[in-house]
Amino acid sequence: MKAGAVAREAVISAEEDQRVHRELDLTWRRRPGLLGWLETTNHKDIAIRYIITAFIFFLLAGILAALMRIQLAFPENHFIGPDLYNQFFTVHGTTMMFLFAVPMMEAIGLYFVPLMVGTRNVSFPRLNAFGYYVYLAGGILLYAGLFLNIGPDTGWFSYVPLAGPQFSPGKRVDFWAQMITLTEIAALVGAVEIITTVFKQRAVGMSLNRIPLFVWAMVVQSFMVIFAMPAVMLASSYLAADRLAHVNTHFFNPAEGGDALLYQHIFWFFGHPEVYIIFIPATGFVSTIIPTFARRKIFGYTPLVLALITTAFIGFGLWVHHMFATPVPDLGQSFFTAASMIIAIPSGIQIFCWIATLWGGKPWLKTPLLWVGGFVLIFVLGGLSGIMLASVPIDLQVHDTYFVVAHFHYVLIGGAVFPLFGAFYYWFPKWTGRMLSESLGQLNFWLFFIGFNLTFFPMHTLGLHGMTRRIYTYVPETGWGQMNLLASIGAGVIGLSVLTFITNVLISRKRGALAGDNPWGASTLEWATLSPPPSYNFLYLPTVHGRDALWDQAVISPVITGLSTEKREVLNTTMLEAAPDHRYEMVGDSIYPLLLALAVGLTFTCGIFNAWAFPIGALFALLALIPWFWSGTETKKQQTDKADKPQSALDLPPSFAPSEIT
Amino acid sequence: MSETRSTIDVSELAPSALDHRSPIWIGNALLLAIETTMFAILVATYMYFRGNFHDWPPPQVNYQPINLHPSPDLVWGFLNFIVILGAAFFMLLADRASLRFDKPSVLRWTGCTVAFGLLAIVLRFREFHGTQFRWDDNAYASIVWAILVMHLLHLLVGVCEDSLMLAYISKYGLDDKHARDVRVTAVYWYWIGLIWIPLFAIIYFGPYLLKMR
Ligand code: HEM
Ligand SMILES: [Cu+2]
Repeated sequence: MKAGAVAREAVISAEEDQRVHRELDLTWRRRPGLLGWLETTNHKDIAIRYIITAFIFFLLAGILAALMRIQLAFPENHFIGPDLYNQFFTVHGTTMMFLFAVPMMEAIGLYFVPLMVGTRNVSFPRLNAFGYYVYLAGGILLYAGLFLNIGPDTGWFSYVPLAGPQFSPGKRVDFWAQMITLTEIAALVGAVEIITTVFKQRAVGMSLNRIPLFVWAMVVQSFMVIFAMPAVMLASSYLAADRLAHVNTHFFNPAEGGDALLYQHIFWFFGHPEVYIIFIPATGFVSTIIPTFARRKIFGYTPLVLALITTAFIGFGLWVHHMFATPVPDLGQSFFTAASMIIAIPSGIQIFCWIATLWGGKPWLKTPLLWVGGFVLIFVLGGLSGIMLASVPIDLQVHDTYFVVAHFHYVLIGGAVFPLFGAFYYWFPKWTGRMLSESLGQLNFWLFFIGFNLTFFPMHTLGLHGMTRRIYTYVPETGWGQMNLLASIGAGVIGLSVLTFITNVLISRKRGALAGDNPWGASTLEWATLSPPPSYNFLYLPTVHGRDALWDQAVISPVITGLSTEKREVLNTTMLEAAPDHRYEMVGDSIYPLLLALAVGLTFTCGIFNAWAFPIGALFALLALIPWFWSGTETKKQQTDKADKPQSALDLPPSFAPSEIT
Repeated sequence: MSETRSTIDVSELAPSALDHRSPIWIGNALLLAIETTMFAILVATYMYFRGNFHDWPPPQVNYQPINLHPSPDLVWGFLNFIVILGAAFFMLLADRASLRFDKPSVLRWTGCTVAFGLLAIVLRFREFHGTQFRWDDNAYASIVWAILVMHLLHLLVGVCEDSLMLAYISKYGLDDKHARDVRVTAVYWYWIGLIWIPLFAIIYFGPYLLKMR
């Protein structure tokens, strides 16, 4: 152990606990009132906002999907016309990928990573708040376009030349392009937060080989974000520059040496890893939920970690399989086919480790585990159609048909949405202190499972029968009517399921059974504090003695003392061993992240219309940045607040015993 | 009610770290990983466009007289190359000085970086002119301008950061945290200089090395 950190036996009285609690709470909680709400930099506040916002986007995109399914339910239907249909599938796909799936995964990471590694906040709290606000700006921008009936209409990947200035005049595509920039800034910010927090702020004793699997998943995902997101930001910026009056670059203009295929390369260099950016955190949920409900340690920790890392590497070498229908050299096609099949190996390893864990345990079939079961079944089906698509001759036949739509909904919903609902049921007690209802949970699951298969299974057949994607209607003679009707009914069932979930949340938030600190008897550190956690997370920062922090503590492990309770101070530990290294004072709450996000958001919004927005906007951004860095760790206002209220009104609630839930 | 608990008292640990052990150092390194990825894709774009032209650079036919090999102006480019590396070098001196908490030297060398950075920004506009193209002439011009502009953005950010630091340190003095910030900004400047070496080579020598197909 490093000189300076001293192991002691100390007598800590209950009064002392109360005092520490009061001081910490005063230091860490946000100011009351609206301003305090806007200024907060607490990772839990920010993450919950992210989760709620992303869920609202999921609902909005779901409504668009429902409208599309109504239109497709019958041949030659006149419910929505072709132009609106184009906007709907574009905004649906874009929302699901950029405004729901990625932010939702990162949000859950931003909530639980600091808790699971046993610290008080993410490393750069203000940057984190900024990330949320730019994300929100991006989302509002996209929907502003849609509501003005000038929503983007060129598909979620906005291929050129269709999306270029010649074939898509007007501003529709520009809304899409600038929305990408804003949301990807947010994604990158989240990734930097998560990696730094895990590298520098882990609990003493949490060496690399003891990091919880969910945290590993978030770290791997964050690295993928760092190397993938710049690609899509460039692709969309090139596109916006090509389209913008008086800029008119020629990146994708073949007449001047530009190249449309280049767009596809850059887009899919991001686009394929994107799938894993969504899927890898979901595997983290699964690896967390399974040992808890199998009531044994995870089988194959090391292979699981290695599988994550391998997936991330191979994930960057597959992008050309989205381009088999373009003139890619034969050798290239074989290479990318092989790579696409190889990536099934690490996924297979994960699935076998999970099955082995369940096999060797005494599974406790609660709702979270049910969703995990649904995940395994559906994701495997999606993987099977994926292996079919990886072979070039099949892909050429079904490219751009409903077979592909079926495939990617199987992997995306199976691989991300099912584990996500499992995660909601699993962690809801930590967020709110109350359990979600089991019976409504079962209903929620079965409606979703049945509705999902009703909607998407027939699409495989429709695709094989030649129904192409992105068409707003079809003639009766095709014979596609019945299966489309089935799919639309299924979409209705999914809608019912989501309503069940919302009802469950609304009821349980107020009237659910009290959860206690650790209702599932789980092993990770987020369960070692109150539900919901106090502003400062842990009264004393914990230390860790094994992989399963709470299960491996035969003797109560020591706690950290000696950190300031009057400043926002945390402990930095070493990267590999997580030995105590130095103390780290965090910056306080601030309004400038919001103001900066406002400046950035307005810049890119105005940049849709005029290139001068960028230099002018940069000046405004600078105006927000200077005081951001200038105002030190604690603002004057916060200091006077503390002086005014020398004692926190709150008492430390007694840790309740886990309630009986059977 | 009192209990005896084993504790680890960390009050004697240093209140911050000046090097790669500090979170901000890691955060900065990650930022640079993002930016490096971006430049890698810009370079890939440049190489990709090479395949679409018969001559490299494409002849400039928009002006009289027609220029068949309009390669960027090496003299100004080279001058700015030196200035940019100079700015990064002064940050190295500031970095060293902040380890010694030598406030006057930190101020002096950071000031030099700001001066050289500003000079580099001015020279960058001369470099734009030296490309002999406007960004909207063709795809080659677009990507060359894009690389120059993106690098210019980093020069601007570096200069702003350093100016802010100068102002803060001359007003409040050089404490632990700001010594660390100077060091992190120095890393940012090393990167600005280092990344410019390959980018400079590609923009200025690409027209000769990639001339033949
Ligand atoms: C919840 C139920 C969902 C339903 C009923 C649904 C339905 C649809 C429909 C009808 C289309 C348009 C097909 C076409 O005309 O080509 C579509 C496209 C798409 N969906 Fe979904 N979807 C759902 C959930 C999701 C989720 C959760 C995601 C991603 C996480 C997602 C991602 C996409 C994407 C990327 C597209 C392609 C858009 C494009 O063609 O540009 N969907 N979906
Ligand atoms: Cu792919």
